[in-house]
Amino acid sequence: MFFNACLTLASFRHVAKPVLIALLLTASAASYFIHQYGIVIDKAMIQNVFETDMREATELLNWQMVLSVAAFGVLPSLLVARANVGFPQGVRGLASRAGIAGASLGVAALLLLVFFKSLAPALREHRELRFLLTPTNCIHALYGYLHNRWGTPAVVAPLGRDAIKGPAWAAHERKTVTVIVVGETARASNFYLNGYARNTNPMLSHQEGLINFARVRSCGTATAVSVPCLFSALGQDNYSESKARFQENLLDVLTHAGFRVLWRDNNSGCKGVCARVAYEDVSVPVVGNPHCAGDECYDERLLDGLPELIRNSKNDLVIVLHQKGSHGPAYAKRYPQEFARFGPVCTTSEFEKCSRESIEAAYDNTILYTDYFLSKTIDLLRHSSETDQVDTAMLYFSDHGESLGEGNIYLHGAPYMFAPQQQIEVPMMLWMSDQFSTRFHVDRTCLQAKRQQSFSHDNIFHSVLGMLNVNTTVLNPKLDLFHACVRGA
Amino acid sequence: MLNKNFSWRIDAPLLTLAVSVLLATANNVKFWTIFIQAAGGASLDKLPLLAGTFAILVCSSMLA
Repeated sequence: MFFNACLTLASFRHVAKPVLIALLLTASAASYFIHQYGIVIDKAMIQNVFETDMREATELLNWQMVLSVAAFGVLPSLLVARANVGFPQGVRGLASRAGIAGASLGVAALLLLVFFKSLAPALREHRELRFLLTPTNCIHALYGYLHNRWGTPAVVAPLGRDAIKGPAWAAHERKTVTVIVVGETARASNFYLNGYARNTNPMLSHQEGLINFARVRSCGTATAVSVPCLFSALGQDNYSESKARFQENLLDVLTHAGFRVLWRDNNSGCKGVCARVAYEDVSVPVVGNPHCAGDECYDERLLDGLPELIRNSKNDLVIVLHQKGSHGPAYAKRYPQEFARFGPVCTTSEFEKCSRESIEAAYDNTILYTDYFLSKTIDLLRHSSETDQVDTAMLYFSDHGESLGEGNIYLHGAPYMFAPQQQIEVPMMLWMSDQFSTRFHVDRTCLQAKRQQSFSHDNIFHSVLGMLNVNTTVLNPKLDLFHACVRGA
Repeated sequence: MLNKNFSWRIDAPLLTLAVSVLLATANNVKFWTIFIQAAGGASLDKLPLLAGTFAILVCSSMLA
């Protein structure tokens, strides 16, 4: 419908060329990414395009893309631009347009009737086709994104204003620091802790007290969906971008309960989640910082100054660390050279120049670096707990997974209904200092017994509140994985 | 036709048709690959269905 509307515009003198050229350029770029990375174009993908940062975007640019867009977008656009287009005038022109439109509609309707019996099952069984048809997919997705973005009132609904710290907080003078690490593009199946053949977790597998949850599903297949979804109280079934944007989230509820909340970001932003809490962007390189190289910083930079921040804080802290993690396609840029343990690795974003093995090796090195980063975070929190009289905990989960060539699909962002498992099965793990679990009466053995149970991002909102003994009416005990594992206070 | 200034003349409906054909073919290779699989493969007896679908796509964009 929208495609037709656009081409309707194209039949008038002053808009014909711009509309046709815009369609040609958009379609050629979309077609390149669909063909090269096996992605589809939907609302979430358009949201990614609008909300990504320059560094992420430039990683996707390469000569093959330039040539492809030049051949199928720029060259035809030049021909259109140089055309001396004749527009039928007056009554005759209107009649001509009506005739062509009527004939086209008639032929299309007739053919649809003739082939409906064959077309219907094919389209029903392969629903991804509607996301592949270019440029219709781009126009539909853009409309959906803009409708969500600006189609609703900009009033943020309150949530959990009744939140207070529960009985476990009474008679305790030690502060608490809870670190929530939001991973990026880490898929569960490439974690050694989940049974992967390569030892991608040499450090975490020796971390005492770490609880690894092996079966966790993400809310979405892209950061722009998963991050707002998992921090919201909506759950996957009720989630929409507009609902989440205009309702307070987990970080607000924690603030209401008296926590100081800080979001530290080494990614492309918090997708609106941190709008009402403190925010630090550490993704911009600083000359001389040992954790920055070239035009970006490694995740270890998220830990810069953290011990001092913990030591000097006068409040109970919740710190969110948003990783760059395993974001592709330039996996080899995500880790320092000393973590290039698996190889040879693919060092370009042009996957057709690399073997699947080299792409997977580069990806595994990013998981190895995340293993180091998480382990270092735990060591830091353990040390703070012992020396600064602070009760500490860390919860880690990834926002979504990644495809590494299975079924010739790469990257992520597939529509959830037919997304490959690799894009939606994510790692999740928990570490608590002894004092933290004692203080909140958490039975670790009970939690360990849940390692093979199925969880999802829906559990995050309620479990963080449950773990921190926050009493509020918005906490659903059924989704709180600590609920049955907290012994009587 | 092309003149020395690299300018050529074409009627609007024909230009729309040309762009529609280009969009439906060169920029939709993945769509056709999946569609042909979904339709049961690229055999001679599927030719009417594939040609018909192509015509539906082009005609629907020609409604302008």
